[in-house]
Amino acid sequence: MASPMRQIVIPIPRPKLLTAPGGNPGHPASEQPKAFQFDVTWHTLLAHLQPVETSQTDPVAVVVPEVEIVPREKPSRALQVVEPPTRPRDEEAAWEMVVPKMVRRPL
Amino acid sequence: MTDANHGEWMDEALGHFSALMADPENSDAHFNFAIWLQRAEQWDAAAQSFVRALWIDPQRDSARIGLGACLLKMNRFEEALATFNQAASAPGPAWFGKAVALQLLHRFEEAEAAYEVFLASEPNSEETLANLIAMNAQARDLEHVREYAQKLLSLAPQSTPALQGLAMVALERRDNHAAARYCDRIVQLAPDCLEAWHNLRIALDGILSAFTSPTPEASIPEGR
Repeated sequence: MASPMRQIVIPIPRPKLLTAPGGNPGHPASEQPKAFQFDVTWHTLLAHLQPVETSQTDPVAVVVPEVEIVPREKPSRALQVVEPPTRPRDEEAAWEMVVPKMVRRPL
Repeated sequence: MTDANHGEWMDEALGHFSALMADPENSDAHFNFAIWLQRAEQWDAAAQSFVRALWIDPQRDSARIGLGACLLKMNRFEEALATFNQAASAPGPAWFGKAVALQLLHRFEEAEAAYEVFLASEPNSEETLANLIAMNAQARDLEHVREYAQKLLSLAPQSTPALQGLAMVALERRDNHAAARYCDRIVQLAPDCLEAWHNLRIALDGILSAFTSPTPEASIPEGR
C-alpha cells in the first residue's frame, strides 16, 4: 500500500516555457530552458488529523496487588554439603536370580 | 508494507470498525474510522465517515478539515472551499486548506491572502512557502517567486522547490551563473529532475559562449 502522504499532491500546469530567446547566443532556438514542475500539496492538513480516544474503548484499570518485599533470612547454619547417592556400578552389584516357584494345588 | 505492518493495519481497522458497530452514534468512532479510511486512500468512503462524524457532532472542526482534504483529493475544490470556510474561524489548518482550495481554483489573490493568514500563525510552514512558490510560478510573478524561495531556502537549505524557484528566476533573468549554481544543487538533491539537468546544460553553455564569443582582435604593435 502506498504511503498516503505521497498521494496528497496535485501537479499544477507547468508555467509557460521560460523565455530566453537569444539568451544563449550561438545555440539554436530549440535549446531553451525547460519549465520546472511545481506541485500543490496539503500534508499540513493531515498532520492535524489524529485518532481520538473513543469513549467505548476506555482502558480498564489494571489493579496491581501490592506485594511487600521481605528479605529472605539467611540460614542460621552453614549448609551441609550432601553428596548425592551414587548408583552402584554394574560390576560391583550383587545379583540374585529369583525364580518363582510353582505352587501346585492339591487335586 | 510488511506482513507485520499489514497485520497491525488490519487490527487497527478491526478496532475502529468494532467501536463503530458497538455505538453507531459515537462521533469519535466515525472520526477515527474516517482517518483510517483516508490513510488507506479510500477518499470517498473517508469523506462519508467524516460527514457522519459531523452530523453527530457539528462542532468537530477537525472532521471538517479531514472532509475538506478528501474533497481536495477528489478534485471537488468548490465543495472543499465551502467546507474549509465553515471551519476557518480562527487561524489554523482550515485557513491552509482554504488557501489550497483557492489556489487550485486559480483564485490566486485570495489564496495568497489566506496563506498569509496561516503564515501569521505558523511562520515556518515550509509547505505553505512551497505552495506559494508554485502559485507565483504559475502566475509568472518572478519577484514573489524569488521572495518566497529565499525565505524557504533559509528555513530548509535542501528544499528542491525553493531551488527550482530561484533557478527559474535566474534563467528568466538570463543570469547563467546563478542558474547553473541552483540547477547544480537541484540535480544533486533530485537526480531525476530532468528539467534541472537540461537547464544546467543551458546555463553552462551560456557561460562558455560568453568566453568564446568573437571579440575584436587585439592589435599587435609591430616591433621597431
